Amino acid sequence: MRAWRILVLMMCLTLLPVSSLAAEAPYYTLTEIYNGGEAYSPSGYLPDGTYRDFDGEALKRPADLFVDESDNLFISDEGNDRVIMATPDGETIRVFGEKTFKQPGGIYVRNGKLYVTDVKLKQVVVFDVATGEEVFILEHPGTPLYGVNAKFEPLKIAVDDAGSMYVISKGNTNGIAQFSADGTFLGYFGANDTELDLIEKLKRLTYTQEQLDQLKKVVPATPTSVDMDGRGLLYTVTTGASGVKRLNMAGRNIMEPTSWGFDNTIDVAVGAQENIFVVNEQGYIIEYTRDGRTLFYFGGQDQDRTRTGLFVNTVAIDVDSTGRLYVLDRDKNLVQRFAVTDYAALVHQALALYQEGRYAESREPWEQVLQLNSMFDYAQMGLGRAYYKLEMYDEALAASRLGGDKEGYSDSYWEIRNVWLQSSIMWIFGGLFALWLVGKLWKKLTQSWKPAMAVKSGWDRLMDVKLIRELRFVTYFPRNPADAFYGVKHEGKVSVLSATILYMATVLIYIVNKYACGFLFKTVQDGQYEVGMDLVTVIGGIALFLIACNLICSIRDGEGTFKQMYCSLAYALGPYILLKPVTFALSFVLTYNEAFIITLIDLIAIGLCLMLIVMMVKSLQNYNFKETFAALLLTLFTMLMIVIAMVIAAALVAQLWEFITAVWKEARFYNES
Amino acid sequence: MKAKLLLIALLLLLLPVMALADVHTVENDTLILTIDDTNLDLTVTDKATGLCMASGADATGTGANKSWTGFLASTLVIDVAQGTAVTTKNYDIHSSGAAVTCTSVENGVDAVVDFADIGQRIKVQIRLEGDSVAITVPADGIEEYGETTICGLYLLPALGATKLDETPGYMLVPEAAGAIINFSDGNGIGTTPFSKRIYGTNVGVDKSVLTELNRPAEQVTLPVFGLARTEEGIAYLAVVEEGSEAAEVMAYPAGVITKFNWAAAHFTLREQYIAQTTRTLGLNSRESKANLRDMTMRFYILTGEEANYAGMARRCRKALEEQGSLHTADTAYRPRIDLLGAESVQFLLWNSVEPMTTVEQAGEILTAYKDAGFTAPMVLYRGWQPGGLTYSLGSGSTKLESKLGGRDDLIALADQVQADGGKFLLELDPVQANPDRMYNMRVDVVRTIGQTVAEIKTGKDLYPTLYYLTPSRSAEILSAAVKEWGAHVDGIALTTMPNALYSYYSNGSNHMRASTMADYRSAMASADSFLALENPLAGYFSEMDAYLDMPLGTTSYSFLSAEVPFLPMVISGYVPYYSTWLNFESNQQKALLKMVEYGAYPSWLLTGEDVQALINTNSSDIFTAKWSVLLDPALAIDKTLSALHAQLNGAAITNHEIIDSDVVRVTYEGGVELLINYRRTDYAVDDVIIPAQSWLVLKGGEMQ
Repeated sequence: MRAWRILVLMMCLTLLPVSSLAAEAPYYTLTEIYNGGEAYSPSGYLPDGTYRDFDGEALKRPADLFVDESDNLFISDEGNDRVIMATPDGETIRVFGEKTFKQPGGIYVRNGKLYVTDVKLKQVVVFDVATGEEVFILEHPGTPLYGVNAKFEPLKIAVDDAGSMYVISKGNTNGIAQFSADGTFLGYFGANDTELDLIEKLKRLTYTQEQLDQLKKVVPATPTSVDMDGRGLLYTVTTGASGVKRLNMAGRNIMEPTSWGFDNTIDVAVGAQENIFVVNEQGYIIEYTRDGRTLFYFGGQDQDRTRTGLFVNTVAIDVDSTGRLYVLDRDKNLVQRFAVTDYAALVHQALALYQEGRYAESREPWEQVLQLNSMFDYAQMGLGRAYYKLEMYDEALAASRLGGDKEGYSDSYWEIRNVWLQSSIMWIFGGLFALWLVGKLWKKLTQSWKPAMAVKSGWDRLMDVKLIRELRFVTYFPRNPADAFYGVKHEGKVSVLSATILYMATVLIYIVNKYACGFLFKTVQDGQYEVGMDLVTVIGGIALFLIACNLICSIRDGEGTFKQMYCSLAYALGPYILLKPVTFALSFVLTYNEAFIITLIDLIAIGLCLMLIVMMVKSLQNYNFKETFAALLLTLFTMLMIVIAMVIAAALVAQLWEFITAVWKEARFYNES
Repeated sequence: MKAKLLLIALLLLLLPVMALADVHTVENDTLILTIDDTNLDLTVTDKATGLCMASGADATGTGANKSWTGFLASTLVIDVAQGTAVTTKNYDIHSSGAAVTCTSVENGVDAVVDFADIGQRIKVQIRLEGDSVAITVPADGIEEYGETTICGLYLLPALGATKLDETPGYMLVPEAAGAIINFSDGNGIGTTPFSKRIYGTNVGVDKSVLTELNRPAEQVTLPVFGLARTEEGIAYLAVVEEGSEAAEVMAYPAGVITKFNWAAAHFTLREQYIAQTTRTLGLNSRESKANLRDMTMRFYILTGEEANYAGMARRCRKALEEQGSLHTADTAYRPRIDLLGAESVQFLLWNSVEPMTTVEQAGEILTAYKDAGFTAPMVLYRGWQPGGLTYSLGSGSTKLESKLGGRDDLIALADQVQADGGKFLLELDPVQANPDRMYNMRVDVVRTIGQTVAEIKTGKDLYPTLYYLTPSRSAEILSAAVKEWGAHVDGIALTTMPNALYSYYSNGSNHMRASTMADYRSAMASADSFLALENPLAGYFSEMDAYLDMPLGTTSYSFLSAEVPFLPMVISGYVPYYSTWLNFESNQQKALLKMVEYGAYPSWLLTGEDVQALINTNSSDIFTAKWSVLLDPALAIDKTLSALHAQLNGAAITNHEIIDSDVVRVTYEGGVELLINYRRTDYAVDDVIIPAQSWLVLKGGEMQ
């Protein structure tokens, strides 16, 4: 009997509903590292609850979602013409406007009032959250200021503390319409800019008036969604434009462009720390810091519509006071809640301290974050700033280097160098004086002391070796270009070998400088190499110029030969070969405060090279200045044409090859089956 | 007594039916099997309880169309295509007017089902064997005499199917380590069923697709599924005994297409694939030659206390024991430490090596862990071959990367680990191949059935794709590694090989997954070494000495009702099994509870150097692994689990129950019980309180 009871008990136990799964994230999470790169990250958010049914009815094409200050969840359920108020756990508290709405859309809750847009009713309907009663209706303002032909078809809304309403209306390109609490139209706000791409710009430059009339009007896109932060700043996102806009009181965007973003952002939400959440139609979610740096990038497409935490067609996102996210899927008809992981909580804690300028206090949480994710640059950057505040400059330098924080690195390095300079200034001057002295002494010795004289004569003989003499000629070009090119053309002062060595030096210096210069002046990410591409660019560019220039000059009665051009161009690049190593060396010892020195030297090098190229063409081809510039412009045009022709030829050959292989494979397939 | 009365009543009821139709009845000590001669409908009845399961469900009047009604009623369903067409249509015994001819044999029937309209004749053998019913279509049992080609078939697809939630119960699916899908009321379940290839995707026919950020789905490694009618107290465990290499497991909760809950296996006879004609385009095609082999489903009937997922796991374990597929290995508790030796990076135009943990560093790390009180671990050294982890793939080299140290150093390290009571294994991936290396592309590299080179997408920038080597080449690599190092290390940890199964084209013919599996198994057997297998398929259990990367979670499908430790129950006590790397767990406490529930041992990936050096490599997803950083968390988990396993002593799990949502009870051989509470609040059961996010150990009902 006892066994029987146990059996029944056991069976009952196995029948109990088991709703919550020990779910791991169905997605990987990425984070932004310096230079806009990406790295994997521990999950910041994990799926934590799914809500489909409210008040006994399943969601049907839900349109928007909002979380109020008390963490109540509001969902505009378009297919069922209702707005639901629920607890964070999905328990329905109240249903609004079942008899009112035709197509409830955007919702917003402020100061105990629920604002719902209805595009079919052409109204914003306002309810009292506590009683559920309708208290106000906003309609077309009817004023000419709003626009005579402008319709009022509200899609999204945000409301500030004073009750002013900011409404996005369907197809209204003037921006966000601002209304006072009593419904008076106050004006438009934060319109998007129009942007023309290059082709459109060219069209507008070259078309006749008739053609211009036929062109589609370029109108600014209507913002897709709007949210407001605790300080009353509006945030908008627009489909087709990457990133987020933070609008100040004057409606101007005060947010820097973000490195990461979507082209089809559908909604934006602002969290307690002014962290910004955006979601796109496919369900990818980004959390930005208030400066637009990506902390977490996660979520994604539910290809087979079976996975919790992935989406089919997302329409809205919001965040509650504890940082949990709520995402609405219009296709799967559900609200997905995401919980903050311990890791993300730690990141937020450190970030809060960091953003408040309490760098030293942020040190410990940043260190903990780095234990969980050593790849997280932002933490290194934060840690670098913390060390800097604590005057631990060596540690700050190392952390800034790892975090890719060039400003921080520059500041720390300045401090370290300053200390070093102060302690070593006597040694430096002493050293310089000693060098000067040795130089002087050596000069004396070479005139009287036999061994020194022998060394000097040996050195002179070495310098007089033909190849070395030819190479040394490179220094003569910037000083007396006309004479130098005369020397190339008529006196054989350089050879193909010396020119080839100089070309090789150019390529080598370019590559070494690109990948190995000082951190502050490096333009590529550590460890990422595109040497093949670099070689093609530099060698191909030089070859293309030589060929094109030679072609043009030979049909424009130039006197120079290809060999002379080949040799001269290498020497014309002399200033680059001579000056770039200097900037390369300087890149290790200068900070951003003295960066202008490197810029200046670079400018001088490029200027001299260009000047020498002009002189080269002029002297070798025996042109006047007008003919020289004409030949150079035509050369550039020819280079462009050659590149285009090569691209087309390559594409055609690839297409032809693909066609032939496709026919062959298809024939073989049908033959076999 | 009641049960006997029920049985007699049932038999009496059946008598007139048996007289009317030509019904074959066979019985043994435990079961009675009745088969209808005219349509192969069958019923299997448990003698002791009188409970029975029927082969089909009556879906008439439930809104199901003719095709689905026939499907749910039939013992055999085939899907066929017209000529070389790609799309298929289902034909079943009931709605397609198939003629059935039956011959009695000793413990069942041999039948021929003739689908005259489409020219397909199928031989079916049904047998009653012990506590199970086996149904087989033999390799020579398919005769195509018309214009159609057979593409697949189902055997007893709706055995025990139930309507909506009329009777409580669930289906067991072999998702990850095991999961159940409760019988559904048909609402809010979505439109997609569980449907997955047994033994994972097949790169020989499936296109490798990466959806940005999506974690890959877990693989089905066991060819089993089950269905339990818990209130009635009857269940079955279905094992795809033959032909599982080209089959899918399906579980349809009610509300997905029909109002019935049913689970089945679908045997594929002609695979669908894309015959690539250009880089981006291809023709949707089917194999012209059918993959004919024996196809057998065995249904173990479970009743009473066994009629639940725990009973299914016990029966599955017993079946594997009977086959001799499980052998006892050393199950003593040892945490696992993977040390990443070197990874491949790019420097200017060349491949270079980033040493992450040299042999010397490895020795220092292990000493530091030992000094801190860490249990003697099972150490796996990965990325030890010349060129580093990713570039060495496919090289077959058995030398040690020179930047990591010398051969003697490695042997000394292995000796050090062994002397401390641990095990030292070299990790080897003899299957994946780096495309930057030179291969004989016709012989060494796997080509798909569409005759293009199979490319596996990695989602990483440095080496975005990898190849697979053919089984013969993989076997050579494994054998060479064992020959070189077998005498000096404890064994080999095999990755990719135990869980990547594919069909491929070579020398003018297609090789099926079954042949790949047989080749791999023989390679493992002839290695004659201790083998730790990474997430292995059931077919390799006989060669396994340790199970690596036991999935502790599922693919987060919305239709799953609960995760259950089916696989741990099957192998516990035989081999030690290890979690995936805990470095990357966002919630360490939950992972710890899961390890306690599943009886898994912990795993960590460690490096000697900072992991920032990996940012531009194919291991860029390793965001924390520095040994010093992970020392404290690893030590904490080790202390907890070593204390727990000291009480469990490598015993097998005998039972598992879900007491309430997020509260489970696990029972071990010898009577030790674990009560585990995943909730964020305390939970009271049987006069004891399980603290939030914690567990209790009970022995003889007493708290330990």
